[in-house]
Amino acid sequence: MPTLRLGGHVSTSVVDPALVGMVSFGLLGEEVLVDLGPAESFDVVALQQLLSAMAARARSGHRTRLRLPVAATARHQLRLWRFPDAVSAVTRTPFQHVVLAEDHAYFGEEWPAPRAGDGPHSPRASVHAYLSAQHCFGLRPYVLTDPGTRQRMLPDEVSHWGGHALMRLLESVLAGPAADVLRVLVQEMVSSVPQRSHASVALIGAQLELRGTADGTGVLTISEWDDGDLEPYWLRKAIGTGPLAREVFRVHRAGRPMESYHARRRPLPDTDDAELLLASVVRSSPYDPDPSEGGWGSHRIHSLYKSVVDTFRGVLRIDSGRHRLEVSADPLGGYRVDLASGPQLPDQQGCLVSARLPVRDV
Amino acid sequence: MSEATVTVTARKIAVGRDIPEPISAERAELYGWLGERLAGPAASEPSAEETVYVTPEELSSPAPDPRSYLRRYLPVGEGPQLLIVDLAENPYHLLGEPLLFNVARLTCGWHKDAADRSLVVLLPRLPPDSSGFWLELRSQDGTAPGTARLIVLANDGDCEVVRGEVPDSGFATGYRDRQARSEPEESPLSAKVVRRLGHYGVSGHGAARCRRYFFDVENAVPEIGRLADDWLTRVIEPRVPDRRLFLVSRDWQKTGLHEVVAGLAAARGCRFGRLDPDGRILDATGARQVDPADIDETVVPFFSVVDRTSTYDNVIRALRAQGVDLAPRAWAVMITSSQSGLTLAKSPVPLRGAMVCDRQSRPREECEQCAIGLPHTDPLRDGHTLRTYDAWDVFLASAWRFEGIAPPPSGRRFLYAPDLKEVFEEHGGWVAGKVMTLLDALGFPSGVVVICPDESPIRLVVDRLAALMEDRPTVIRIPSEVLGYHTTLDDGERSRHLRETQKHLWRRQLRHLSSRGGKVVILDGARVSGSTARTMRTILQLHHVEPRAFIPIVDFSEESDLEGLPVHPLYRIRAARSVR
Repeated sequence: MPTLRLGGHVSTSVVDPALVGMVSFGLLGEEVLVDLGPAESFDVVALQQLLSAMAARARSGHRTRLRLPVAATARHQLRLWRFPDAVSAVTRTPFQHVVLAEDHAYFGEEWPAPRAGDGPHSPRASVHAYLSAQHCFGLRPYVLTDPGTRQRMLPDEVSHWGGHALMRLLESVLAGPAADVLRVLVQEMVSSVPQRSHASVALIGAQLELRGTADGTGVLTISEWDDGDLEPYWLRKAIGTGPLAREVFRVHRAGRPMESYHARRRPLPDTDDAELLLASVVRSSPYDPDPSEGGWGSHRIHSLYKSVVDTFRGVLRIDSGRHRLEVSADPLGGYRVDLASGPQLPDQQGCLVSARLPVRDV
Repeated sequence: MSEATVTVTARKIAVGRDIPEPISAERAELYGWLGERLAGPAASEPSAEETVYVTPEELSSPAPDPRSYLRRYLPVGEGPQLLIVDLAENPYHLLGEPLLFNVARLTCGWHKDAADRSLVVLLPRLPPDSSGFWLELRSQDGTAPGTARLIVLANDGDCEVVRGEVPDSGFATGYRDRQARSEPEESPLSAKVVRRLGHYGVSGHGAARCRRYFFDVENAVPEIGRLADDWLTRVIEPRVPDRRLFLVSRDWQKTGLHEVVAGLAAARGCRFGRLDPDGRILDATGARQVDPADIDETVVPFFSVVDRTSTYDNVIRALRAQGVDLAPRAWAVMITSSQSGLTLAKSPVPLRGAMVCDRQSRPREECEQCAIGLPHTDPLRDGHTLRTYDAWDVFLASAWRFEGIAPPPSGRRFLYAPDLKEVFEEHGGWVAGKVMTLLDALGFPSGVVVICPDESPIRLVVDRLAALMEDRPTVIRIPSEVLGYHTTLDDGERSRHLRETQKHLWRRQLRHLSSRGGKVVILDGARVSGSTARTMRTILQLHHVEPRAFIPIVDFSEESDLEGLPVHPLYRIRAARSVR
């Protein structure tokens, strides 16, 4: 069986070439084994990339099998992160039918005992462990074909992120007000899902890395993937009247000089998909006509990047097709946009939006 | 010449609600104070009748735009005006960016339309600078013409004067104090702790015993968090000079206290662990013991419920035996014996209980539930129905009297019936907890609309339900006159009565609910003949509202539905009297 091996710390930089390779080696139409045997730890966005590829294969009638990590701690991380539920939700197949038979021995195993010196030496490591055991981090799948689940998604996420211990933890480590994680980031990411056409499954991702280093640096990741269309049609709907006066976007693209966009010079959405993606962010504005009246409604993207970059000093990333766009603060003022496109990126199915917020854990 | 009157108008926006609701007298008084402070003696009495509401559906629409309905509530006319836009009593997380942006844009537009218009926006907290809320406001020229002002105020007294003269120095703190007083009384801990009846087995030390109650603190996490945080700050931290703490919680049946103590540890950047029933220190997940040699901080124990002095003393002894440095005091959500409370306060490590309630236990051989073979109830799995033993126990403990409240047809009342008002006064939290469990099981959204008679027994349950559900259920109370209590109105008279009450709040609320019955439930203390429930349903149907279910706490009817409407009683006694 053609095999996709993912080892070490499974991050976007590991998953990108593996998924690109899966297509270029002609594996798309066959049964593929995703071998997580050598994996030691995971980045939640990388898992969403992997799961979105498995979802696309399942939609095309192709089967994907899984080999579980050899390392007990890695299996434990997947279990705490509800990876089995997420696999079942995106492939519409029970997890045990996806996992190789020889790995079924791992089902129901005891939690691994920590070795001396294990785990981050963060002052909040014990609270992090408590929240992890409550499945606070990792993947929360929603099968949107069920109207009840669709209706429950936002209240569930609000209840989850509004948890007492999690909120107190975020209040103590984030650069901005933790209440805005719930008021803006979670609400905007989740509310946009039902608007996308044909979305049948969504995965909300959450990861808090407290590295325990002397300077206390770490990262909170909040991400959302669904298999709805982030197609030109949707992107055009999300293009507004911005940027507002005073806002400047410096756009960096491989092989091109930096380009600056502002209220008098806007990206044109009618050239190619990369420009369209860029325009959907740079031109987003709260002043758009109400989408319920047939207007654009780019408010959500505007709220997201303002909150991620200005309030929390983080990075907003959008993956769509073979394009990846990142918005962050520019040291010169305004926003820095990194836009990557091309065959070195896997073809992202659906829409993957992620916010990475720096944390300070001292 | 006398100064021109400044017309003060207050618009309270209630987010995530389905109908307009009345403005409390305390809130109206706050608006009066704002008018007086900002417009002086020329301020008129503020006009504020009921809330302008934003439904949950509108909130999750592509871009909630309050302009369509808020616009028509904005004051019109000439002359000096002060508009108070009150969003302060909404949960902050519901004030999403599109909503805040649109409210600011619309009201700011109203403010700019004339030189003598002042605007005050009240918020639970000030949004960060990046919020779209500020876009329109801060684009204004800071110098307002004449006496006009534009001010944004937060509940904690944060104040931003966007335009016009800065109010005097005591204004913001005065607002903060008055705002705190006008808020609906913060649910006291006792309203959030549910005392559940049942048959709870106690194992462990000594002889096996049974308890009648289980205290469920899961709904009281924010209140417990505030109290425990205050105690830790005032009592423990000053006594531990290096502030290096290891907070441990002992609650092995539920997670509420762990949530609180983990939150306290997160805020302070200190370690968190759990205590097992025998006082061993476990890690944060409760999966394994922590080696006491690895603990060099001061251990602060938190308990959910402490029953007996001996149990507490054993835990403290066990902690000391592990050789850890123990804090000079400990804290408990509840001590279930007033006598123990006194002893525990004087023990070598004094225990402070946020609540003291008496709860007896008895040996199994003396337990009457054991004698009749009733199994123990699982505190982790509490269904919505009442056990027969519990139902009759609370009925028999109440006064029985001639059924005083009954709708027509009259003359067929129970000679003796339990006094439900007394039952709900004593056990309202438990009954409300059961209703909450049932609503959850039926898949009702958190913004459920409860229709009930405006009479005292069921009001007790509804009030407790509102406290447990963080004020999320919306309640429409139908006056008992309309339902026929104490009267012998015939159908014609009732119709006339309905017409006469056209302007009443409950009628307006029902009109707003028209054609949206998916989240509506009828609640009543009891169904006897079913006449009250039928009348309520008829009234709803007249307003084109089709409820999803009828929940009587006690159902005496032979019928299992209400003319096709599903009925979910908490307890059923077949004792029908004539119907219709």
